[in-house]
Amino acid sequence: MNLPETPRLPFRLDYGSEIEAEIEALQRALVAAGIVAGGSPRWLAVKLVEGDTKVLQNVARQQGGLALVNQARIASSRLVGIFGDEVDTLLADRRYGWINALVQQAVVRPVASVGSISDRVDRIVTSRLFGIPIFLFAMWATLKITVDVSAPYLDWVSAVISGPITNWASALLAVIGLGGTWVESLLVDGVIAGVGGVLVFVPVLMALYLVLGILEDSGYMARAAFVMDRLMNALGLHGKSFLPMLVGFGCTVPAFYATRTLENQKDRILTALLVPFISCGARLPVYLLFAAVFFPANSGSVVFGLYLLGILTAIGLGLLLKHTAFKGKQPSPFVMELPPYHLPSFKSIWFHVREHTSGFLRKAGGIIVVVSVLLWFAMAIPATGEGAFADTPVENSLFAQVSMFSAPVFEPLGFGSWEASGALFSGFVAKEVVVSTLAQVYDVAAAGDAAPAPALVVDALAIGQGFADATVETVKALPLIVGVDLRAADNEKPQTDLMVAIQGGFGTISGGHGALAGLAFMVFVLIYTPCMAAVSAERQEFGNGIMWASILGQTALAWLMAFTIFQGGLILGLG
Amino acid sequence: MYSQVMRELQAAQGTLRLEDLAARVNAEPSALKGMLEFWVRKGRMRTGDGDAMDAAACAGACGQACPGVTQCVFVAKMPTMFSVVSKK
Repeated sequence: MNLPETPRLPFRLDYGSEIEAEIEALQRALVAAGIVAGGSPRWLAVKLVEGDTKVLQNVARQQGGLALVNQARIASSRLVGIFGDEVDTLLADRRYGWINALVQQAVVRPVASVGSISDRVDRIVTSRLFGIPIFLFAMWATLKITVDVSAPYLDWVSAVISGPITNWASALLAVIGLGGTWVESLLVDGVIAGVGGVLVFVPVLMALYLVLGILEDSGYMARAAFVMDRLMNALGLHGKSFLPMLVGFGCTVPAFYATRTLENQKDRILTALLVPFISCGARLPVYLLFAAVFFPANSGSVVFGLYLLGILTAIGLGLLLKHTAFKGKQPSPFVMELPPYHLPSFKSIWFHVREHTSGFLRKAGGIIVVVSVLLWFAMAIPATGEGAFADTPVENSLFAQVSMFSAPVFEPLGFGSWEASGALFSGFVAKEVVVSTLAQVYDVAAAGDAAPAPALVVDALAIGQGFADATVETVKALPLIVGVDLRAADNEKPQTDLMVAIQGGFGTISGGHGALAGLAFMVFVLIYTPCMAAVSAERQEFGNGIMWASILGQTALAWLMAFTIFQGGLILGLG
Repeated sequence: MYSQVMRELQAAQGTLRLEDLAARVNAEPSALKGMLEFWVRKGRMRTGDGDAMDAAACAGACGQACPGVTQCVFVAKMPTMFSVVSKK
């Protein structure tokens, strides 16, 4: 006999009279056939009756084993007939019942752990009454901290890029004899203006990732998923849809993959159609730039409003589709295991911030450089016959002329300029490119300004001083989170050239309603197609049909919502 | 216990915390989790979230559709979910 060594169980678990009767009958038959192998005949009998494949095969090989296997199968069938369930499930059920009873009898928990801190906090954080308001507050606080606290560093990085770095690049090119050539324009007006326009937002993103890291590491984010799941369920949507949406706050691409949590294909597609409306990190630079230009006093609240609008749009559209094109059966119920709360660790948060920021920098150093260079060439090529390569008024360039074709589409939205429409088109590649395009377009327009001669030591000292000032300003900005402004009363934030140019451009094209046009532009950026990588992921996961439906639907909805905001605002006399 | 858990899940008509479900069926959360995992192995329940989250993480840096370091906010610490596999 070649049976595996069977463990000697120090106890006998009672599976109930019907099951026990079958086990005992099999046990007797095993002993009679001499198939015990020095082990426990009861253990063998239990394994046979629950249909353990390996044991069945081993027993079948023994003399008289086939008859035993048949007897076991008949016994199993009888039990299935009695209980209406598979025998291994019945046995597991009894075992877990026994374990549960044993734990309850044997484990004496300290009084404190009965109502642990996690439990007590959860009672409030996940409650039906406070769960949603707390989630909204967490979102608002995240964005408020991100915007207010990082603003001084943003200004510092902006000053470093537009000052010393630009000057040094020009000086370096002058040394190698390329000063004043199109190469200098490509580097300064193309790469530095484009990539630099995006890089200034690194402190903002670091602040965002820092706060999100704290929320995630503390265990709150899992609660947010739970709270929103419940809301979605109450609205008739699949609760699990919110999980990909939470992922979508970071990036839409992985959010599409996260829809795999949904079992039903219809629910998956519906969720995939909604995920792009959640503001990804790439859209934040656009919001921050425009909120700083048009709503400087309330930029944090405006950005929060846009995030909220994205969620509400996703839920509203989800409800509409769920009750029309995606009508279907109720989703399967589910259970969530929430991790306990704990103090976030510095190491974990630093990893979070470092990884996300380096990802952003890689992106800036990759696709944004490429797009900036391509855009520079498109802006350097004369398309109207006037001027020469790299020496043509930007409005006569290939980029401007192509963008002008689509500009009238955006006129009813308040931003029918070629600059805005061109930025939106290049934004299909990646949302940060909207900012880099605007930076290039307006920087090119301002080209020719004389740069001060670079002085290495003076510049280095100025950078260090700027950083120290930014740190002091950040410390002063911290109490803003609770509404206390410790900064000097005359601390009017200076506007950068780009901000002034955007304000002027949008003000002119909208007939003096720049703030409304700016808001409509931000909403358009929020709603229309996130980026090429997201489109590619959507196609990979859901096919061409869904991808095109998504692109066209999002663009149409973006136009409609921006139109409503601009025209509605005009009717109401706002902006 | 399986049928009791199913009854409670249906009655809840939505998401339940593991602790809440455990309280409803008078079980220890850790014992209940072991049981849920057994039903996942039996194909009666699914988690799947791990796969989905792996795929999400695998999407790499924001804006890239290639495998790489997890760059996506919220991916790392999502709750584990057990859902009932609907009968075809």
